[in-house]
This record gives sequence, structure tokens and C-alpha cells, in this order.
Amino acid sequence: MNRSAERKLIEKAAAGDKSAATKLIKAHQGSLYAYILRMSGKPEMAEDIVQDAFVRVLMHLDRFDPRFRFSTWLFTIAKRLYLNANQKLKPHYDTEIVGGWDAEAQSPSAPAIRAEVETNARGCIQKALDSLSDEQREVILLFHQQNWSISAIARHLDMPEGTVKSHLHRGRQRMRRLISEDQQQSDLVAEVWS
Amino acid sequence: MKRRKGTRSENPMDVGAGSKPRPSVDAYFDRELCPDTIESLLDSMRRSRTERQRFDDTQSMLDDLRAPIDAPDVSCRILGEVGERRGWLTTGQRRMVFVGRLATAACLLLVVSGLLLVRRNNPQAFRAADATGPVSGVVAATGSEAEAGIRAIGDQLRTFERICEPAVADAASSVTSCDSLCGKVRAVTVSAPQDFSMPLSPGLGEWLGAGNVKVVVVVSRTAPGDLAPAGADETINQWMIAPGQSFRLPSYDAPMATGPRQMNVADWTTSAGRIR
Repeated sequence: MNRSAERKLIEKAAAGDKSAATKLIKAHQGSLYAYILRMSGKPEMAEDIVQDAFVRVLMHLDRFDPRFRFSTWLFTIAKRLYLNANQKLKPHYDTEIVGGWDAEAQSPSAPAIRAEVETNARGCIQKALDSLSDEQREVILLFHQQNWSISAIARHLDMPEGTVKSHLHRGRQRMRRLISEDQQQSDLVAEVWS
Repeated sequence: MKRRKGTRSENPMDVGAGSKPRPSVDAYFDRELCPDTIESLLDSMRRSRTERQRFDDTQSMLDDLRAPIDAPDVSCRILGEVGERRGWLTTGQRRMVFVGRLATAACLLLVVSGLLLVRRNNPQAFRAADATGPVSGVVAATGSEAEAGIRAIGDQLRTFERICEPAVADAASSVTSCDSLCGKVRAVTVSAPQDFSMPLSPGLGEWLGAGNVKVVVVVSRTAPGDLAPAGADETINQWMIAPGQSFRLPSYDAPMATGPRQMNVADWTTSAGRIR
């Protein structure tokens, strides 16, 4: 959808046109869902965030600044919602009880559980994405999955373009290495079983 | 120049030792290469198996990343929630809103152009004053306006007095005159307060009993000192009594101290100038 068509849809939806709002949702819900799903790895969370982000955007369409892309606005709101949801889901530990335990090892994301969850629910790509830092993951997804430009990502994340590129290279390198190791391990297992 | 750790060259071409610059795989995936340079990269990959493996691995990884995800359709839920909060408008309703806005804009335009037209034809119409005037002028004008207002009130009171005068004439013989101070106060002037006794006649009683009417008895002697806040130098003084009450004034010095039916000291007032 080009920008002028998108702007007309936004104007109509802001005026209360349901069909225009439907077209806007249909145009962006897939990419937004994919982005949040890859960011969070949780389908339910992604679905809720997509819904919440669209509701917020449609309720405040009159505030939309046409100088920017609609998707940028939508993704920014969705990302904030994701961060909020992530913050709420973060496990809290009583430090006095836990004492010197390794919180990482005892958390629900402990390697054993995580491995099981990942094996069952996530693909190899998701596992590699999860291993990245938040910035690296976001840059990788926006650049390679959403096809945003380096400059657009830099503006969106409020960081220099050089930093965006650095995150991109390191993230890609790390993902490639992890996927390669995973592949080697799978090949080894297959060889042993055969 | 010393490079910072972890940063990479902005140049998308890798320069190997003793070899000519060749484009990097990362630069390709960064979408920084032009078609000619891409051709050069492909050439280099044909010669290097490691390079090609790296390229294939990255390409495969990114293809997986871009693979379409089966996203659930949440449009109905979104539209329902937004509809509950702000509602959707039909085409007709939206047209009405548009027409309403257009009409408002047209009205505003009409008003503005009307004002401009008036101003063009009569430039003096919107001028507040030709020149600024001193404040004293404004004060003088206000004073005269206030005087006129008071005069009008006086006229009304005189009319009221004319209506009341017959009733007062029927009262005690010692009452020499009557006046109305304001809407709810009546003044009765007596000449000899020492012997003044005023059992209210039926006519006067009716008149006095209306609403919060009070009788003001005026004597032509200096008021006693204990009747503060009356001014001791007043030659005409007034005592106010409740409506419907009779009162007796045997002597000027002790009329108010005895009996519940006597005058109320708190109602003491002096406004001699208003009493005839």
C-alpha cells in the first residue's frame, strides 16, 4: 500500500469508517504479529499486543502525524506494549529466600525447561533470536523481517546508524553461529541413531 | 588510523593482503552493494568455498526469518472493541458530519466577510474611541449617572409616601408627619416624645404589619448616650420597633429600658437627613 492510499484510509478510519479501519488492520496485522512473535516467542502475547496496539492506534488516529509512516507509529506502540508486558511477566524472586542461588538457573527459563519449551514450540530461528540482546534482535527483525532501512531503524530506536549496523552484523553473526552449531548437533544425533 | 574494537569499516569492500578489494557478504546483506558489486561478490564466492558456505548459511537463515507466519485474524475483535469505545459511523452519518462542518465553516466565513464589508463601508464602526480621555472624566460621568439613578429611586419613594400618607394620618394625633426611608421602613415623626403614646390604629397596624416593615419614631431631641451607635449630636433620632407592636415613650430618658414591647436598641439608627 502506498503512502497516499494509506493516508486516505487513515483519514476515513479517523472519521469513523469501519471498512477503512478494517483495511488498515488487514494490511498491518500480519507483519506486526510476526514481529512481536519473533520478539517475544509467545503467540498469545503477540496476539494480545497486536490487538491492543491496533485499538490504541485506532482510538487516537487524529493524533497521527502524516510525516511518518503508519507502520512506524504502530510498531512503536506495539513495542512499548511488549516491553510493558515483558516487565509484568518477569519473574520476581524473594532475594532473602533465594539467597545465593543462581537466579538464572532456578528461573522458569532455566536451560532444561527452556530447551524443552524451545524444542517443542520454537524453531531454530527463534532459539537463535532469543540468544540475541534486545537491541540486536530488534534490529535484525526490523531490517530483515520488516525490510526497514538502516536510517529508519536508527530513528525508531534513537541510535546512530553505525550502532544499528554494528548490532546488525553482530546479531547476524551470532545467529549464524548458533544455527550452525545446532545443525551440527542435529546431524550428530541423526548419525548416532542411524 | 586506529579503529575502535568491535566497529567495522564503512567500506563495503574487504581488502585482502595483496589482493584487489572485494565486496563482503555482510555488505550484501546490508543492502549496500550495487548490481556490479554483487556480480563481483558472486565471482569471489565461486572461487572460495568458505565464502559461499557463509553466504548460503546467512541467506538460508534470513529466508527462515522472513518466512510468512500464520497470523491470526484479530480484526473483528479490534473493530468490536473500538466500536464499543467510540463507535463507527455509516456513510450517511459521516456525510452529515462533513456537511455540518462545511456549514459551520461557511457561517464563519460569512460572519468574517460581513464584518469586513461593514468595516470597508464604514471604517468608524469598529473604532472604540477617537482619543483616550482622563480617568476623571469617566469618574464624573459615573457620578452623574449614579445621581440620576438615586433621583429615580427618590421619585419612586415619594410615590410610595403619597400612597401611605392617609394611613398615617389616622394614627395618633402626636404624629406630625410620615416618610418612607426605603421599601420596608416607615418613619413617623413626633414632636413631644416624653408624652408620646402610640397605640397603633388598625389601619396603621395593617400597614406596619406587612412583611418586615418597621416603624421609625423620630424625636426632635438629642439621643441619650446609652443608645449607641446613635450620634449624640443628632438633632433628630430614630428608634425602630417590630411591626405590629405599640410602644410608649413617657420620658425621653428612659423609654427603651423596660418591657419587651419597647424599642430595640440594636435597631437604633440615625439618618436624619432622610426624615422629614
